[in-house]
Amino acid sequence: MLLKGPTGCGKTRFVEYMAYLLFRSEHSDEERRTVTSPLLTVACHEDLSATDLVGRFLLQGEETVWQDGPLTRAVREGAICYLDEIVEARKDSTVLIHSLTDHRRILPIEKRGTILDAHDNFLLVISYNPGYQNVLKDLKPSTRQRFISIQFDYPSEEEEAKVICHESGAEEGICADLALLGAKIRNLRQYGFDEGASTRLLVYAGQLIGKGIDTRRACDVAICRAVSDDPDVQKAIAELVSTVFPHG
Amino acid sequence: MDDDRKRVEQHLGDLKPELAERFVSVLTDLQNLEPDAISAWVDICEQMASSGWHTWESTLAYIDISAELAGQWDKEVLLACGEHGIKLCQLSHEAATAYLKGVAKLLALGLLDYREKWQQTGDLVTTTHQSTSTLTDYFRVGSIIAGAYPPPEFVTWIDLAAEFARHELPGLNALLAVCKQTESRHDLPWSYARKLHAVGGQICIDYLSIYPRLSRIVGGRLLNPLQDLLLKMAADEKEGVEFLHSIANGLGQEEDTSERVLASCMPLAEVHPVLVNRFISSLDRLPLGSPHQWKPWVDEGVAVAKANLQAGEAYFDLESATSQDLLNRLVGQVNFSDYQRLFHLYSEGISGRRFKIEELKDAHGSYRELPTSDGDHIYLPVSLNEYDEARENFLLYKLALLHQLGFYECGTFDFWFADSSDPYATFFGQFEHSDLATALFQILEDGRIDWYLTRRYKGIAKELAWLMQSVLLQRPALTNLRAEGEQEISLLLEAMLQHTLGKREFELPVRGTVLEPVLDRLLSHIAPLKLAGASVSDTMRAVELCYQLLQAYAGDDQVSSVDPGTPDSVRQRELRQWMPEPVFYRGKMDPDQIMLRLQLATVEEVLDDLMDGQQMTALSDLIDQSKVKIEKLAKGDVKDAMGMFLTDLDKQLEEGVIEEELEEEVSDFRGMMQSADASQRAAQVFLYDEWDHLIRDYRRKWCKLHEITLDAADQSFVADTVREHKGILSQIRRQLQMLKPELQRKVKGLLDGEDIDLDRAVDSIVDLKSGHSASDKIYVQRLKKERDVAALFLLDMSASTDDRIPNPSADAEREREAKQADASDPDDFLTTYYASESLAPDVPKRRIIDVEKESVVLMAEALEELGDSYAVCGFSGYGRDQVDYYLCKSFDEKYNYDVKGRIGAIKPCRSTRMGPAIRHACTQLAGTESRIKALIIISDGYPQDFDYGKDRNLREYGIQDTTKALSEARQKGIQTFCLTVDPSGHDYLREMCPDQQYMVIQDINQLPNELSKVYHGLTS
Repeated sequence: MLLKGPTGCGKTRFVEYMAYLLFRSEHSDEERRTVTSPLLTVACHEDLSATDLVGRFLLQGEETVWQDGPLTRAVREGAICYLDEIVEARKDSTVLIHSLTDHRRILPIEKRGTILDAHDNFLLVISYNPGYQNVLKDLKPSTRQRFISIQFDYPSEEEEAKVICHESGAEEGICADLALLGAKIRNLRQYGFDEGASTRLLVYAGQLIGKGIDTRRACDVAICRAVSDDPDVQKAIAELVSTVFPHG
Repeated sequence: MDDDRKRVEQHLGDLKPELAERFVSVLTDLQNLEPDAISAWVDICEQMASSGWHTWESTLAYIDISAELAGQWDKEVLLACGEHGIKLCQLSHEAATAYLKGVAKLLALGLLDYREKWQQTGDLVTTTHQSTSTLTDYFRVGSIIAGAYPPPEFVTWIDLAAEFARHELPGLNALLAVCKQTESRHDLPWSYARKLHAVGGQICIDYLSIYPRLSRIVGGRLLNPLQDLLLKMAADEKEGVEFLHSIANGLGQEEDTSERVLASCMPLAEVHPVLVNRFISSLDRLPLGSPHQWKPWVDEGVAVAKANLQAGEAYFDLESATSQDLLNRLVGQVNFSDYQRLFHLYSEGISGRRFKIEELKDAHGSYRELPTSDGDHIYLPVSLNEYDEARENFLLYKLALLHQLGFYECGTFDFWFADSSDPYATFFGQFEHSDLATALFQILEDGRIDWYLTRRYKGIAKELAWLMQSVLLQRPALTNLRAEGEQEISLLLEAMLQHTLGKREFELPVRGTVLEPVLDRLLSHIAPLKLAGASVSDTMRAVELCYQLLQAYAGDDQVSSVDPGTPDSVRQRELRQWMPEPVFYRGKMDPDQIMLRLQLATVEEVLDDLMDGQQMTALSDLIDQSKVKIEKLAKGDVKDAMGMFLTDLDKQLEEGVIEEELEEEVSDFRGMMQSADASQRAAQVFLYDEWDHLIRDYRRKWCKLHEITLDAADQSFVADTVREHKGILSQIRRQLQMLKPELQRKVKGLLDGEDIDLDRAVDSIVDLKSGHSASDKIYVQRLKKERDVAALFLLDMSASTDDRIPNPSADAEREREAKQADASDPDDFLTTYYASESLAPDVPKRRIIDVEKESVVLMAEALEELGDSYAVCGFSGYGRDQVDYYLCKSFDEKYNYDVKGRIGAIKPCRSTRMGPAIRHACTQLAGTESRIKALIIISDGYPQDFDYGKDRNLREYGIQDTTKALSEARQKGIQTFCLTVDPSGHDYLREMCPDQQYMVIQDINQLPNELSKVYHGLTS
């Protein structure tokens, strides 16, 4: 499955919930319940290579020991492997999943010279963020077209207010204002922070406020400073905050 | 004895018969005198009469006063006057006559005691200057002064005249002239003038001549401090005179203020008179109403001036940064320019639209422009200092901006009426008094917006309430308004306006109490607008209801209904009758105009889409759905070209023109619009501070830099250069290729990695087996390396780059030898190449600028392969208001045909004002997100401009400013490098740049080669 959407809009949360429903809820079957770690999340970075995913030999004492990578573990056990921000990873790791994600469902482990058949329950979820990475780092069509895609985005103001309320436990009025603020800040996306203030940030701000921190202060530390390093943009956001939230 | 008299009588009679008559009659009056005295007198008369041309007049004057002199005074005085008269007659009969008439005047005034003193000064004039006309004037004016002033003042005047007489003649003449001019005045301050004269003659004259005007302007209380100040000012004659003239034009303000101003001038004058004049010239920019705001500013200025006079001058001229900053802080002034970007971001955040936030241009004078918006701009005032504190002024800005944005957010421009293209005008047009309806709409809509904002943005609710409260305090009290006739409507409108500002209790004037029930009903109609979800149509409903109520008061007998054909200006005036004084922060708006702009924006968007390959039908759909009213858009008040185009388009759509043709036209039109945009871009202006080392401070916004995109005029230059210098180019390429990182690099000896490094693993196991401690670092990892460089080449385009390159024959000789010695050395290839070329007799010598350009072209060609982002710019200009910055290639631009043409078009222009060009280049560099930022300046001499520092011959100012600009660049994390071909460059570059950051190229032909080396060094 391919999850598209900006940062902090709930992609990871969605996968977690999926894993819960499949592996730990009352509907899940016996086999799935026994899986020790149903969700293996890999945050992909620029230097993430195929080795990191598949596994490698380690030197232990006087012998080399093979250690499975997270992908291999998930394939073997039948868990969900979640590759977050897949486009960040090196090309060799993206190509690696090709054979896993068509009718073959196999994972060749080059270093050991074996081929691993995927467990029936194995699921691969990748996420990527089309807006924010640079053009060079787009997902190849051959990769892209192996997945069912779900597009995520920030919820509407009302919905977001509910989300913040649920996640942070802050007052409803405050949450509504936080959602309003979020919408306003997202208007400024193109100024150095393409993502806008994510729902996650708003939830953090809500949590701080819920713990009794002054609203403007909470927004300052959780939102203004977080979304941009440009002092002008920070100031502008601070003005937006002071427009939405009364002092003290 | 009698014979003598007869003879004299005869003689006098010959000269003038009446003289003889007077002589005889006075002689009888003198019979009481001793005979000796009488004969002496007769002698004097004869001598005087015969001493020269026209001296009979003087004699007559003498004879006329003789009887009285003899009667009141003794014979000595009589004879002394006569003898003095004879003496004067020998110089001029006029002077003598003036003297003797003056004696008569003194005699009549009883001031004959002062005669001798008066006469002595006359002698002084005679002996020092030998000008009889001045002497005559002196006696004449003296007698006038004697009559006009009390005796002690007269004496002072004589002393003053004597002091002038001791100096230059023109001074005395000027004094006498002033005295004659101000004849009707009797209060010129002679004793003060004497004090002033002791300091400066000219200023004394000037003071006396403007005194009558001055004493009229400056009240009596101020005269003393002014005179004290002037005494100080007179120390510097030029400044003193300037001061005098500026105060003669009036200090302008009320007496209290003037007194304070004068008091503040005193310490300034003690430091140096020039400061006072600078201060006075800045007065109209100071908030004189509240001394606590500007007094500390003056004190600070005095301290600055004591340390450095020039800094003081700049300070009081309001030119230095210290001065402006302090003043702004003191008055709490908030300047638009400081917050433009913030406002821009804020408005985009709030609205999600990209408004351009601009300042209102003509904000001078007493009438203040109101904030407004036109659909894609929002206009705010240049600066605000309504309130004492900056925080409050900023809030005023913010709320004014928010109010304008409120119109967009609250759907004011989503109003549709009767399917009209200008719904507002159509809507208001239905009413008999459309201006009343318009006035109502503006009040109610402003109210709706503010209620909405209060509800929606809790953060500003309190501040908005505060602002409304403070606005309410300035509104006229209803009880003071007249409640008669059509004034009733104005009263009710004002009451409604105040209601929208939060006023609840209304006190109506006595005669207007009948209006109370009407007002209550009006307010009840407004009430729905306060509710959440109130829309513009609710406003319109309220307008209708209120209008019906008010119509009764706007009967035809009272108000002439406006003819629809009336010109707009007349309509405006009509409207002003109804409309209460506008509320500043609410600004003004023209809804129809804005809607038009918004539609236009939609059309432009569609056109953009069209060009992106969308179907033509989109446009016709748009037009068919009558979202866009062609005929209205086509009106001349939009962009002419756009209007024309759309009219054509409309016609063609009706006629069913073939799609392709239409598309072509759309494309042409887009091109036209874009080129119009481009020409607008050409005129972009930036303001930069400049460092003045003399005052050790920045001069604020001192330089006006014009960013100009050059025309791609000379396409062939680049191609020619590349063709000519293929060899060097490949060398430079090779040199720069070394910079190119390997895409991936294997890093060994890591704690963690994708693979085991076998060698190290074996070593490690060996260690382990042999009982040593083994290293954990046995993994390898492939790491990627990228270059992240932005470089800006800044070319000096000053006139001196037009110079031909001197023939470095001696050098060339040496290099030729070197070439023979080691022809294979690639570094020398270039120099020898050029050297051999310059030796060829038929090759025209190249100019410095050509070599600069060639170097840049070669660099650009090579950099294209390396993939670094770079920009090429040139600078020149003339004076601080005209610093030209030519953009050849910006960072994100491709190295294309246009860019090449622009580089080719670089040519020598005028001066070299480096500071602002460097500052602008740094701003551009700082805008890139590259890790390494390099600024490479190529010039041919020290920075100079005709007003780069007060004395154009002093290089110091320009050098210091450039030094400062370079150090600012380093603070921004930009590496700078100066390359110069000026052989004396070492002298000033050593001051301007830190070591290793400049290079003086002895032979300009080395430039391309050196440049690539420098680039290598800066960016690797």
